[in-house]
Amino acid sequence: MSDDDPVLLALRAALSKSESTELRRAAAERLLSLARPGEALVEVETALRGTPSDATLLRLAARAAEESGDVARTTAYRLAAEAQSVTTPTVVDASTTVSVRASGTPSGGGLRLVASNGEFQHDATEAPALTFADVGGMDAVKQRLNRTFLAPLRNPAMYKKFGKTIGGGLVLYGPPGCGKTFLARALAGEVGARFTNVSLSDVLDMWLGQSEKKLHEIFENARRQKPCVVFFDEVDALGQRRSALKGSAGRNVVNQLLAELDGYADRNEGVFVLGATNHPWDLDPALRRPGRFDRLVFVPPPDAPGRARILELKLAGRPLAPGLQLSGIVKRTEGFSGADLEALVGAAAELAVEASVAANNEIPIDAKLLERALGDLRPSARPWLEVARNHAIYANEGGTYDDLLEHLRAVGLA
Amino acid sequence: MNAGAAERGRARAALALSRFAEAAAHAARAIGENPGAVDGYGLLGQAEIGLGKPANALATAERGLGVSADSEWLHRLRSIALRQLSKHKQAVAAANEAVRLAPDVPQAHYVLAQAFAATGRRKEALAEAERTRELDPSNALYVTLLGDLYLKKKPKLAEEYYRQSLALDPESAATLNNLGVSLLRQRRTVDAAAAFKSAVLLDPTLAVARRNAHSTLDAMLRGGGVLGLVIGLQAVLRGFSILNGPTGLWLGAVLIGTTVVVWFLFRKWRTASNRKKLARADPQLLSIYEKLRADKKTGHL
Repeated sequence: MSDDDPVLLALRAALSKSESTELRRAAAERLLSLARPGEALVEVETALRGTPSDATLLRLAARAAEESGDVARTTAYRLAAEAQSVTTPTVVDASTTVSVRASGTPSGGGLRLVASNGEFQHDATEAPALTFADVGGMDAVKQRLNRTFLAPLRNPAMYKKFGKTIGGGLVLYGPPGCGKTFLARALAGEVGARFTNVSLSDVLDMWLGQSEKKLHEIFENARRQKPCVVFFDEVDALGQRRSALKGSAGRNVVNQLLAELDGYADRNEGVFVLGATNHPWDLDPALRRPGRFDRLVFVPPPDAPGRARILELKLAGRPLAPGLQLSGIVKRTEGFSGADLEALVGAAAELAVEASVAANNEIPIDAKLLERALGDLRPSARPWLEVARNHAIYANEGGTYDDLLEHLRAVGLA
Repeated sequence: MNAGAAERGRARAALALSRFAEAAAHAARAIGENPGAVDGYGLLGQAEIGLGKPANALATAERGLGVSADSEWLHRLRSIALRQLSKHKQAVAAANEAVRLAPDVPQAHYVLAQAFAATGRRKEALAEAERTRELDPSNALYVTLLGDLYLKKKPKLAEEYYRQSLALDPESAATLNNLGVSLLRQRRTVDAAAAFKSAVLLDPTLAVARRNAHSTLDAMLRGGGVLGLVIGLQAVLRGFSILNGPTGLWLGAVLIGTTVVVWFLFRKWRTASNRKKLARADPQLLSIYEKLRADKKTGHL
């Protein structure tokens, strides 16, 4: 469509010389009056990138989206505008956070966020119902998460007084299947915050399109609805060493991630960034500097209480022998990951089904069946630990992998 | 963007991240969406090579060539898969076809050079490696290949190529390891140990670099002493041949024992002294050596 409207031409000429939210808003309003809602939406979204919490802009975006017939974006912008109108917190209200968690109701009032392409990407409606109580064992990891994420939220005034910001980043690492994602969800439940999960498939999709823009949107959405936990599953895919990404679009993604963690630091108050990876050594070293992902926290295979809890959860709802004691199985599954334990329960269930069919009678899962199923299984974390030990022993600069090294010593691998 | 193209894009992104399993899954879906697009087969084959499945990669490349026989990429992949399956002559033929189809693509020449090297045709391999570097002088991998080809016969020249390669990519642990080997071949043990140390620090999972570092440091620290033992034993045996009777026998035995003990003590002293020197010169290297020794004892090396 041609820009033959003189007012619009003047506004665009001014915008080409200097970026201004006001001018963008005026251009969007003009476009709406000219019945060009699609273009208006583009203008408002551009303006929102600079001032994502501006309720007027959000309302204008909702109107533009509605007139464009984009229902999803209309809802999202309207809800975001309402949320901004009620309160625009700069400091997290810890009492609210705690009460929300205590009542167990999801925070956020049903806000769904959309990317600029209009797709629902990051579901913020459900503050996860999980809490640390659902995670068996792993006390050291929980303590670390508590110190980094929860304590500042519960006592923001004290942290402010000591010049500590509320927010920050941390990377969970460990063998696959050991509950890093589960822990992240439990953390979000504890915080009572919204939880944005960025998975590997999101990252790969980012690389197809405007990666940096999408990444910026993820962070802007998080800033708009803080307190918020942005969880990057397999963060090494997004933040891989730039030296390994020569000539690849991935370098720009890493740079953008650094900018989001760092460059906008003053606006990241209340935004918690959590990463999970099986390959912490592949992370770009710049990501591990203070103010970004400050710490690497090792998530080991579950300890005995953790294994007992996982087995209980996985066995729940299946026919079980009365008085089934799990302590023997728990002892014999040292080094098993959560996924291994799930496989164990699955194998025992298979044996029980076979036995039931053969006996023409329901045979419940008992300790003997679990023992038999255990015979074919080996801990899957072992190969990961073998690789990790090399990094822990030879590349443990600054004690990065001290907790891993401690675990390796405990299991006789170092 | 259609579904097939999107899947190919995801496969490319995953390959750039060395996520071969994900890349293979996306590439397979891309082929399902669009079986006529040759790139899908190339991506799947490349992912399968990355996953260490050359037989699968070969089958994929051949399926792709059924769609389009003129794909340089697929012939190149076929050559890599064949070489990994130790079918070297066929690998050369496939790489030659790739070069014929795209004489200006450095990767084709690179694969041909590797195929020639695998069959022992060193001169042809060198010519192809040189051609590869001419076509893309900024790629460290191509310079490393020249170093590899010169390593056995001209270690000094190999060292030069490895250094050029490291100037282009200073974080290549494999090249640093090979630089160490080229230095060892020139009997520059101390320099070699430094190169192996850097390789181990850059990539502690590179087992060959750890083994090389261990053996080099072992030789450096425990060096000497054996010659002294041989000379000592020779002198004792000469003396023993002069003396006859039981006294001579006893005396000979005592002298041999003393020589061995002296040699043992000398060796201990020498090792301790070398260690002290290394601790002053490069404490990090000594610390690595201790760790490597521990790994050797526990069977992790």
